[in-house]
Amino acid sequence: MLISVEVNGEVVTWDVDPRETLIDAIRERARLTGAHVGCRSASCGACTLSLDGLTVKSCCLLAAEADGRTIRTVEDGRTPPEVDDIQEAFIAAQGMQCGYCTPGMVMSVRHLLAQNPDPSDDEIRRGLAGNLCRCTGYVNILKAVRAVRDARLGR
Amino acid sequence: MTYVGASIPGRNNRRSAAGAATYVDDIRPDGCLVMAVVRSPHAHARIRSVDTSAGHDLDGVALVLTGEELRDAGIAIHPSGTNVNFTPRTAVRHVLAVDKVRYVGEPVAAVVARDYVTARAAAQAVLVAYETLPALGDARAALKPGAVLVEESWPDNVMVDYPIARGDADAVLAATPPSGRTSGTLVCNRVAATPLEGRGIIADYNPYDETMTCWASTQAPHVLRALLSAALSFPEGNLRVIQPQVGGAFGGKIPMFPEDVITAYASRRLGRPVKWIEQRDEYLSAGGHSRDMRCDYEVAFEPDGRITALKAGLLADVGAQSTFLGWLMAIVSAACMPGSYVVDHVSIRLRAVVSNRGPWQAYRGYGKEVAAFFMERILDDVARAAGLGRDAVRTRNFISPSHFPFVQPSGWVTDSGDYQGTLEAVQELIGWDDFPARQAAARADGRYLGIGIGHELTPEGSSRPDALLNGTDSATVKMTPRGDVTVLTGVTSPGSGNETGIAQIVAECLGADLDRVRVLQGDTQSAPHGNGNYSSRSLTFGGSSARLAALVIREKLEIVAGRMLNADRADLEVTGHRIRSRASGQSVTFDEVAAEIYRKPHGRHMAGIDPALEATRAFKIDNVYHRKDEDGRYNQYPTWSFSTGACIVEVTPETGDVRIEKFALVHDCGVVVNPLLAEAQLHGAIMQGIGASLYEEIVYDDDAIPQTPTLREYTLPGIRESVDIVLGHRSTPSPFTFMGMKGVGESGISAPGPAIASAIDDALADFGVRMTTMPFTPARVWAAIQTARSAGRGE
Amino acid sequence: MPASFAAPRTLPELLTELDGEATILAGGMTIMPLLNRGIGRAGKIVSLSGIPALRGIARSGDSVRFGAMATHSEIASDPIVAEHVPILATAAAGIGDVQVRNRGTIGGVAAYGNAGADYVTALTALGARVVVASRRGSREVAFDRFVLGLRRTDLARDEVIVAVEVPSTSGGRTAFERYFRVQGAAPTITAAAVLMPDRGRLAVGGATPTPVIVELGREFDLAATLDAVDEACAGRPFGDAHNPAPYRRAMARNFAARVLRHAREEQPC
Repeated sequence: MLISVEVNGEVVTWDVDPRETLIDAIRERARLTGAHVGCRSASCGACTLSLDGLTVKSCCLLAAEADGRTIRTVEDGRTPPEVDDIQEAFIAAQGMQCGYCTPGMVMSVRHLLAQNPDPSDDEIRRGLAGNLCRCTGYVNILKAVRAVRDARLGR
Repeated sequence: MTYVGASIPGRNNRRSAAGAATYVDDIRPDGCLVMAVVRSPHAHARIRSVDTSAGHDLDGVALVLTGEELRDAGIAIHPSGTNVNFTPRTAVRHVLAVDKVRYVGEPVAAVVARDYVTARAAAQAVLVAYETLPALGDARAALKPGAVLVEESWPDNVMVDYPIARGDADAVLAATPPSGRTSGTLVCNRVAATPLEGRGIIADYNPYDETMTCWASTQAPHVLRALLSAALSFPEGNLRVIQPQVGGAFGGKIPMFPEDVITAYASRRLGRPVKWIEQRDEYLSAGGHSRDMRCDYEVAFEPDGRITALKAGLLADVGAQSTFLGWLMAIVSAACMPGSYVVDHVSIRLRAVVSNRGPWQAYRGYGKEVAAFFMERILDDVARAAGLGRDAVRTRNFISPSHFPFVQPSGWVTDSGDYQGTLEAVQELIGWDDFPARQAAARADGRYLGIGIGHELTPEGSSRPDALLNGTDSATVKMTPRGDVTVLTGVTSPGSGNETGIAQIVAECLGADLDRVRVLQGDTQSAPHGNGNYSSRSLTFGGSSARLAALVIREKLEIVAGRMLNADRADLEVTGHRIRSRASGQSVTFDEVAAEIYRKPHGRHMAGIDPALEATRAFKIDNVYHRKDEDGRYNQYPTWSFSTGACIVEVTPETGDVRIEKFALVHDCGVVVNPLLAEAQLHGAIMQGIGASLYEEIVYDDDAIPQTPTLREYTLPGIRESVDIVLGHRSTPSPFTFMGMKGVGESGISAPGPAIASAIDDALADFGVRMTTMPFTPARVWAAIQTARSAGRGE
Repeated sequence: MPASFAAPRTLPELLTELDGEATILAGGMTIMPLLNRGIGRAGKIVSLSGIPALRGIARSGDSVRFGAMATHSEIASDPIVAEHVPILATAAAGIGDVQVRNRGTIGGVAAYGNAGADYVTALTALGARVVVASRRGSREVAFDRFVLGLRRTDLARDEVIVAVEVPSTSGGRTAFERYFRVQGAAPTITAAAVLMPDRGRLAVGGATPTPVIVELGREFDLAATLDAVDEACAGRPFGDAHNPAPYRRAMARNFAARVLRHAREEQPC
């Protein structure tokens, strides 16, 4: 079936299978492979995308449901190797190891800080509760988020 | 410039953060088909028939494979794992089940189709008729007389029966009065490594030149190449294995898996690239588990806490067997007891038993965490029974620094250590001495705080005889005509950062500018032979071999530069990609020397010099003993890192909920090359240790049906469960490696289990609770309190 | 059966699609993981996400009407909910994680009636009503009669939940408790207490296939109430691998006590 979606500012039309998930469409059709599949049960958050301005786990969304909607991914139209301040903070703090969870984590941090520019540790934990990381023990992820928060607030 | 010891962020961070890293599923060769695997829903059943017609008939399906086809094609795996100390029972493994299935998730058939959705639909359409058999839910059921046989050619379900003895434990126990003895049962939970990226492979067979290229999420490309070559009877030289970025491994991607063979076979049959990407439910049933051991122990001790005898019966449920070699972890658990402690009379008997649970696959800790849990809980029990401090009992029994190298009862040789040093340091870090006052104050407020310690021994660099996972690795260092340095290593990085550490070592040893050193890994076509990443070996082995190769290059650069500068080699100073004569103050850059060597091979500075600026060297580590018949010892672990962990917990008795307030770990891995990355490894290992202690357990019911099929049941700790981790370092350099490096990576995973158990016991001392079964879920802690209450202990 | 997907725009269009074979997709947080594992029928999928009439939260007399597609995020932050049924906002805010709350819906949770699910317990205590429609017409069912058993509700294959109506608790005292083992797992126990001037109700979920309900008068005896919870749990045990039935039963009592204590301490809103 034909669907039309706006991906990172560009409107595209795809002929998707009714059973196809959004993560598969984004990865296979748009060839945007920053978001990953980790569980297909809405548990790990590696597939986190933004849909009409809200973060979603795209492994548990059918591509067909995104028809007519706006999607943003971790790549979000940046010119390589440009990254945003959140990604820079993750790089500097070693807020990743294997990197598999990182794009999803970055998406959640973008939304968290957009909604709450000065989150406490507890609010950071709640904001990132849907993104699992198996490598870092979250220690350096917390450091990275605190660092970008403080930098944005000029602290 | 000193690079070794510098905290430098991982070199792959930028591409990872950008979402630009390439994992196996991000690779899509032209015409690539997708494979899905039909798996057994039964724990134990005969296969009556496999009807593939409905799968074949679906639009877009290219191939349906069955066990019969692969068997008839001569594909079968003959697993090894034989060791000088024991001989396991074994049997031929079929990568797709033939005749019967032995565990839920066992591959039965495979479907290759144009895309993922079609392949999954076709897999569902394959009809397999089963006749179910009674299933063995666990090792104890498997040991019962008359139990159904998982392997019908065996007389019983015991795969390995491995005794370890020193002295006469039975006699000492018999001669010790009851006040000097204690006993108990400990259970270590079945867990799964669970990297966020599942397993996966793409095989691309080229029928014209009869070559095959595989991209695999593997830890060991060369090893996978050798095993695949043997399984498929395919020329090893025509097979290329490439490791793209790996989304975590933790041992879970040490080759080889049945799916690797099936995928490669399918590609060869079809002459097209075929991709298999594991789904999480497949992983949790069939990707391999670990631990799942119990220990029945008896110890004798002196009034001062010295343990005089240890008798332990270990029972490992290694599940049904596959191509995986994870069952060897049970051997490591047994061989690492008593580990850090001197016990003169030891009797350990390990029985590794097959059941209808899933097979074991390597996981960080590799059996050492089981040994640590058992030993540390035993030490706590002795402390309780002897009325002594938990720290004092450890101090009393530790191997003292002057006793290294120390031969374990298993014959394994522990290289070096200062266990009291890490114990005291962690006590300082956690505030051990001040805690009782805090605890009493909290108790007066109705809060239950506890403190615990757990010591771990983490032997690293596993070197098994007659195996490709052994005590050596190689590296090539080469310099381009314009002076850039390329390092090719046989070790790989699944996210652990050794590419960065190895670059630091090479830059340091060569005197090169770090930015001009590139490290390439994970391609059998370019990298020299190597065993890959496992057992925290990559930096010690890969770094040491790269150093040897770098020194060859450096020597040549120095000779030519000396001639260019008219200086003696002894007069030269090499740093920052430049060679300088101290006497004259004149210098040449590496670029200039490289140009001299490449561009003027017949020039005046090159007389008698082989112009190759490329060297491959292998590093073979010491302290490995594989000739037991000659020198009477067997040792597969050259370096023995260790740590002591301590934690403070708060327990809510009404719910059994355990909250970790702080976890401290003092670690000794010799010299640290990159503290930022080493600490990052420790953070992750500790969190995985905490996960297995509080949240994670692969559960089977009595009929061996998995009860934890998704991450909603097999619950990994999230950021809300993350804890305040404090690290301390000490350094007892290894005498066997460059600069005294020991492994880091596994360290930290073992201490949390016993430390948390110890802390819960301490918090609930009023009740007389003893935590003996991992994980310490709220339900278990609560039940332990109820049991203690009804036994009349405590309040 | 070939797969198909329909996203009707209106309720009547939706009802024509509901032939008893269709799989209804609301937020997908329960069914998508199952479909991804090949469990359940994925032939004809009918999505509710394109129907404006199923969205929204509004006052409706003395009740608040939640469109079936109201998400947990919307419910957690809606001012009407905060004023009239604050425990539903509390319940919504505790579900899953940010991404799950952005997709999951009240109708979806209600349709499955999972033991211990936050809304299932809260809606039971609140005396909510479910509005169900099909080609055969529409009907309203009291929520405590709608949830029939373990993962079993009074929703026929051709029916869809259109809305959930929840009486306002203005003037009453309410509390909600959620106890979970680890982020990402279903809650072990949820408990909700609604103490109105003229009536009261306690619901405890997670220890039994469907919530335990204890009706409370203006005054109630705490010990007797907790005994009633305990007895109900003993009669209909429910447990799983990580939280066996005896544990859940004990926690039901614990959290019943907590939620009642908290409700009593509340200022009437």
